[in-house]
Amino acid sequence: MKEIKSYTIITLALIFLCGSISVYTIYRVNFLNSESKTTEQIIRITNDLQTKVLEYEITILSFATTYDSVFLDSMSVIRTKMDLDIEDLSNLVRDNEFQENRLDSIRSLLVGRHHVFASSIMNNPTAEDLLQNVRINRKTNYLRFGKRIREQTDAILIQQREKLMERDLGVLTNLSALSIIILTITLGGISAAVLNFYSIYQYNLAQKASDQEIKDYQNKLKIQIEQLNSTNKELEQFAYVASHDLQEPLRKITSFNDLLQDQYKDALEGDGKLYLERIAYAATRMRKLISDLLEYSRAGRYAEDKELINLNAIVNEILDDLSIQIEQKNALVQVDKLPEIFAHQSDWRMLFQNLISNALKFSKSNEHPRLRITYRIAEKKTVSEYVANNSPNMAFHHLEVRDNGIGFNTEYANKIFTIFQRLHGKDEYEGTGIGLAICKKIVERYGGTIFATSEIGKGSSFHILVPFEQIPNDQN
Amino acid sequence: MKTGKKLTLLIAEDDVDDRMLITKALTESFSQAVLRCVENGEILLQYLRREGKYQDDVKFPFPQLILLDLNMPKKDGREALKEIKSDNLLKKIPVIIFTTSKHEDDITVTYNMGSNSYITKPGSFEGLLALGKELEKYWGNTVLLPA
Repeated sequence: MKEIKSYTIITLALIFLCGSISVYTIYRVNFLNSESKTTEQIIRITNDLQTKVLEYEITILSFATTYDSVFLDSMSVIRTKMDLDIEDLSNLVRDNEFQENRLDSIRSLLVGRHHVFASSIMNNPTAEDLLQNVRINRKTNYLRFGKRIREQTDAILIQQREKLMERDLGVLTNLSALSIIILTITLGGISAAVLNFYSIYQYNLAQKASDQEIKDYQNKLKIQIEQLNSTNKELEQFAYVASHDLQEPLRKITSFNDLLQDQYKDALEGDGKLYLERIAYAATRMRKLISDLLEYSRAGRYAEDKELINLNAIVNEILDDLSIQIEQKNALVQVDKLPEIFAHQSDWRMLFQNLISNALKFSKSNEHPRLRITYRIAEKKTVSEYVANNSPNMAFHHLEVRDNGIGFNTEYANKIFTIFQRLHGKDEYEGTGIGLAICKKIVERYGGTIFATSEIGKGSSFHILVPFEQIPNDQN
Repeated sequence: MKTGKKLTLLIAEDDVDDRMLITKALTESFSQAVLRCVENGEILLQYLRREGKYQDDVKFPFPQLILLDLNMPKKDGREALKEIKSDNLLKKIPVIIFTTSKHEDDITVTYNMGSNSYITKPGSFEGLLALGKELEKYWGNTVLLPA
């Protein structure tokens, strides 16, 4: 991904560079074009000037041979034109010192030529004399003026031609440099693009590989979950069958023991009767253990057949069942308005049965038990603290069963939900240590959590958090 | 309370101990009943259909009430119940399912098949005695049974 970014940046930079170099080259070529236009103009005017100089010479000769004043007029016209040409040229070569010097000497040579001609007219008043004079000085004047002017104009032309060539070469150099640069940049761009594509390809390959890895992992996990589920089911089945079958012989032990006690107690001597009582007690306890284990294995077993159940109705039924105990202990029970949830009636009945009977069981001997069952929608903070894997937009019910009983050391707050875990001796408080494990199993089956807070001597609170959504067939 | 006339109660139970305990308890608390036992569903149907030695009406009187265990070898309680309730001569006899199973499926299924009661076995002899009293009070003295 990083490479793709840098290659893209390089490509963009190259394109930008290419663009600016093109713009610069176009500017340069335009500039050189306008320069060569000037040069061409200079060459044209210089040629024109050369022609005019010849024309002037010819006009002098024509006047000398004909002595016709028409030629004097045309001489003055030519002179004006030559002055204009020189004026134009000096404008065009303004920043070239050599050319300016050359123009200056042409100017003074032309002036000198005119003076020589004017003085020869003055000194030779007749046509014959003038012709004679012109003829005699023909070579001298050519060497003195014509040839030198020609040399100067040629020099101007040569220099301008050189300049023209130079500029042509400049344009060419610029253009070829441009093409080389563009070629280089294009090559750079192409390689960047190739690298880019390669990186994308590599990236896709890596992506595919990691996708595959994730898929493999998911499959593995799925298989493991399935295995775990089936193991769990087997275990539950085992516990169910085992506890069911265990009850059979136990029932008989109890029954025959009853018979012995009932019909042969007088025949027993010494501690015999006591032993029978101990057998009966042990068997009763074992039966309670087995039946609790059976309940534990059955708790939360049903994923289907859920219905909308009214928790208040369930709690009221339980309180009805426990009414003798409640009356005996003079307990005060207060129940909030509880929600309706989509669940299995027997699960929630067992859950509240365990929690309420626990609250009554672990009451203080010197104080009337007070029990409160409250309901609220769980605070986000509580949920995130206690529910593992909670999703932030999931709402939870928060049910609490609070008592003023003996309480327990918070050190054991988690331990009490472990199966067969007891905090008190069997003789102190009866029980098998399965009740809270059942509660935990049930609540967890509904995707929730149960936890306890307590203070010794002040009472305990059992909190149930279960998610709101209880859509049919959503859970397994 | 032993006002009503005698009625024959046929107990289908495969377990020797259970048979002993049940007959002992019922003899004591359901004295109105004449008790007969069979070991499985197959023998139960032989008894009801008066097959073999069961032709003897004096030794094996035709029952007015059946106590049926569900889990038995050979023909179990469910199959036996099905046969009884689909037999025109036998279906009038009330059948009480008497089992250790508390399984909801068992309860529903057997009632659907036409059983008349569903009772789980008590866990003690005293429980059995109490149950015998209940049975006598209801089946012996309260309800009217077909002739």
